[in-house]
Amino acid sequence: MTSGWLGKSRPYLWWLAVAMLLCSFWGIAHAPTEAQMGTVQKIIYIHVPSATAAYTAFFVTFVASIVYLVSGKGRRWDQVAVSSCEIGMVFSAVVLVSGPLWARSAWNTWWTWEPRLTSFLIMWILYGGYFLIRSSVSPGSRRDVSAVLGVVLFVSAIVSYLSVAWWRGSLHPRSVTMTPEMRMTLTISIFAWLAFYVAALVERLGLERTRERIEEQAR
Amino acid sequence: MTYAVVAYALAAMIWTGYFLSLRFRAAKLELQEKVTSR
Repeated sequence: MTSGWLGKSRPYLWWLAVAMLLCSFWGIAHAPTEAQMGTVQKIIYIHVPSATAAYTAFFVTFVASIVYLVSGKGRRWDQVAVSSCEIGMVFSAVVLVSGPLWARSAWNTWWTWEPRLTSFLIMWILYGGYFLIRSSVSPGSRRDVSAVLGVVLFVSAIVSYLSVAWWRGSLHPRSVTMTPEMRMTLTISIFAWLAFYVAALVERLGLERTRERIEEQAR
Repeated sequence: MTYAVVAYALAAMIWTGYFLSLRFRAAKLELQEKVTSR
């Protein structure tokens, strides 16, 4: 489906991502259990890496959109932007699903309208709008409109990321006290999910390129 | 323990669903490509 170096690198990227995820799962199984929260704390090893990957994905969308707008409509950058945005949405969904399970144990509630949770949910909904608008505008202006959205919507990601610092009294912790083993496991998990993000992005790019090729053939 | 297991299981389900949707879309495009090239 994908030609060139991108297609050739795909299996290696997947092997790397899977190997790193296996290391991460080994670390999660062997990391010490937190004294107060118990095993529920192990949600951190998927929650934080998924959030990191989501913010990274939206940042890539932001950069690719800017490059598209500046570089005189290089359509490859539009493909990167939309592919990265979609994967960012999936990572965000994992964050939104794993968060309440942790909150239930830590705060005794599934959901609370505190700044980080609210801004993250709003960000997710807004990026959902990116796809809604992209699919509803005419093919001629689709890329331009998407690029503008990719830039503008990144404001919501910045607000979400900095919400813990901006609004005092936020329930969501800025950092969690961890032992060196826990910190190491979290670091490995973050890198593993970032490798997974890159592999998924290449996979999704292949689909986008095939779609564009077919659209060109049909014209 | 249950919440942690549920979180990982749900994450696995989300990613499985996403990759299935990618496969489905790729198959649909391949079919479309065959029709277009005829």
